[in-house]
Amino acid sequence: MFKFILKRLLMMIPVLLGVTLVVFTIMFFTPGDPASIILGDMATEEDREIFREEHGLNGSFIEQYISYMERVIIHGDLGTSYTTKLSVTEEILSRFPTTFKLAGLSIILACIIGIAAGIISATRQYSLFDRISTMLALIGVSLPNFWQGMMLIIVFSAWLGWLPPSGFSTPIHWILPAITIGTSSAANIMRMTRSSMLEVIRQDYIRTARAKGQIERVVIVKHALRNALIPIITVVGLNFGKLLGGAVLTESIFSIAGIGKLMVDAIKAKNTPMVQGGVLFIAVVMCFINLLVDILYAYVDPAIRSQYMKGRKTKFERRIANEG
Amino acid sequence: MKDNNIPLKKKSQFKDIVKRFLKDKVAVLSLIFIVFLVFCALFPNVVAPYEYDKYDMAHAFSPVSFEHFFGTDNYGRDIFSRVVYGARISLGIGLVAVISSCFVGIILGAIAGYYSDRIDNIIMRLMDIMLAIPSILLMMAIVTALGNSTLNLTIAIAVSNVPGYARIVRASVMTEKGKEYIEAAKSVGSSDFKIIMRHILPNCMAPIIVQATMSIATSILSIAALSFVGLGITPPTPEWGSMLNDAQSFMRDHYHVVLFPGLMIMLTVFAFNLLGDGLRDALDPKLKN
Repeated sequence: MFKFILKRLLMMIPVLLGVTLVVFTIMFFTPGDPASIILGDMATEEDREIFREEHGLNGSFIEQYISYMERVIIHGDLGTSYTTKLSVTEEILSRFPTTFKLAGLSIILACIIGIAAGIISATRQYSLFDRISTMLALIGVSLPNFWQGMMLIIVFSAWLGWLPPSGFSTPIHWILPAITIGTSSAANIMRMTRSSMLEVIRQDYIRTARAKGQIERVVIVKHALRNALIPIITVVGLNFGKLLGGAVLTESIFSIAGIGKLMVDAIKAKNTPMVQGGVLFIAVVMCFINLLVDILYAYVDPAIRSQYMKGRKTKFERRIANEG
Repeated sequence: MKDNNIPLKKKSQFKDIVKRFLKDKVAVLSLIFIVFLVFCALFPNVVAPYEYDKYDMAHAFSPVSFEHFFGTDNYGRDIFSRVVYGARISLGIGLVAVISSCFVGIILGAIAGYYSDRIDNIIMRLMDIMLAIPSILLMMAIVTALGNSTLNLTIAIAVSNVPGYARIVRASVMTEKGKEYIEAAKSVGSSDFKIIMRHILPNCMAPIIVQATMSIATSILSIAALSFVGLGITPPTPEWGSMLNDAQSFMRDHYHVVLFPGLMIMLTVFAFNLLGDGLRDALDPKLKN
């Protein structure tokens, strides 16, 4: 198991290097000279020159990239934000708890609703409940979440006056953003739970379990759900990763100072170090969630566990790699 | 079952697919809705009662009425007409982006799937890298880098769609590659290019078509999201996302300026998703749950 984790950690390195290169390239070709954007019109050419020198903005593309990577890898320094003059690491770490709380809350909500609705739908396929909830789930993935957020604000805050429209300080502030962000995840989880359960429920051993007189609840939870869990975990992991990357638009609608809002502002202001640092951070978080998901597979499925031990690619891993 | 009496008649697979598709009422309904939207996009002046940029300050924020089905916005412009004209942008960009990303994705996926190992590894790791960057941020960064225009918005959306196609095409090419008929084609000396184009890809079309339909849906959401943050579409061009952005400051007092553009996005995306589901069931009944 340890060997497996180590191998996966090593595999992250090329992906992360690639991410920095892609983001660096995009930002390099973004028009606008950061020196004049940051220093304003009052600055002299000399000031701008000093600024460029300080931030390593002179030199060719390759020189700049190498000096950036040197700083990141050797000193662990992501640079300083152009706009606030604070270190990028500090900025990200100060925003992360908010995003983490919001993402965690939403994903818990989404899991409870999504998995429960998925199980009920699968066990009563084509029933009224099944039809309604699959339709709702499809609507859930079709909603533009920034619009959903706006409508929730109109109804629950402007009309009914029950909930505050913005901010993230007290639990009552968490409700609307968590619903807005959680909806599409809940819908995704529900769809996956339903199809995965349907596949399992048709198998012979479920019929056997029922035939020997097992209570339906035990059949569903112990026999069926456990075996349907792997794809569900995958979807939950993917969605959680996406949420941790910051629900970009939702955060700005509810004026929540999270990673997503930070990134949008940074891209708009051509705050290059912030964008690079932020995307790198998000990519690292996503990689770790993927790793966590893989470890969870081993916990849930003994067959996968034993294959990890042998250091071989599992049948499931191959399937995932092929199907995406 | 009555086919039993008829002597072997060659049945077209296409007819079968159409027949299965027509049985799915929801999918047919969504197709009708999409056809209507396409009509709106092609001939907006026929459907829309007003010009999309007709200012009428005296009637700003008119509520829903028979003159203005969806009410009017802060400049007194008819929201229904603007929504109709907005279909142009969403469908137009969505379609172009999907076709171009489909094209690139198919090439990359087919190469990766057909020539395993080294080339496969390089292409797929590149796709992994792109998937590791949240797509909305990637798109925003690309539009900012290339400049704010409709073309660049299309490029950004196309780029972010490529990895999805590459993965799906690669997976189906890999399963198809091992089959006997490919071996047969190889043994008679067909070139790799011919095998991929003539034999493998036609057999991979089902998942590609489904993915294309679904990714029009996600592209429309992305277009709306990007123009909501002010990237891509510049006013006064009516676009559903940018209409919502304009409406943001008045939403507390005038719900209709927010409701209808968003509803339109939702219905359109919903219709494409339903169509995608219907096509999947029709193209490959085995997958149906």
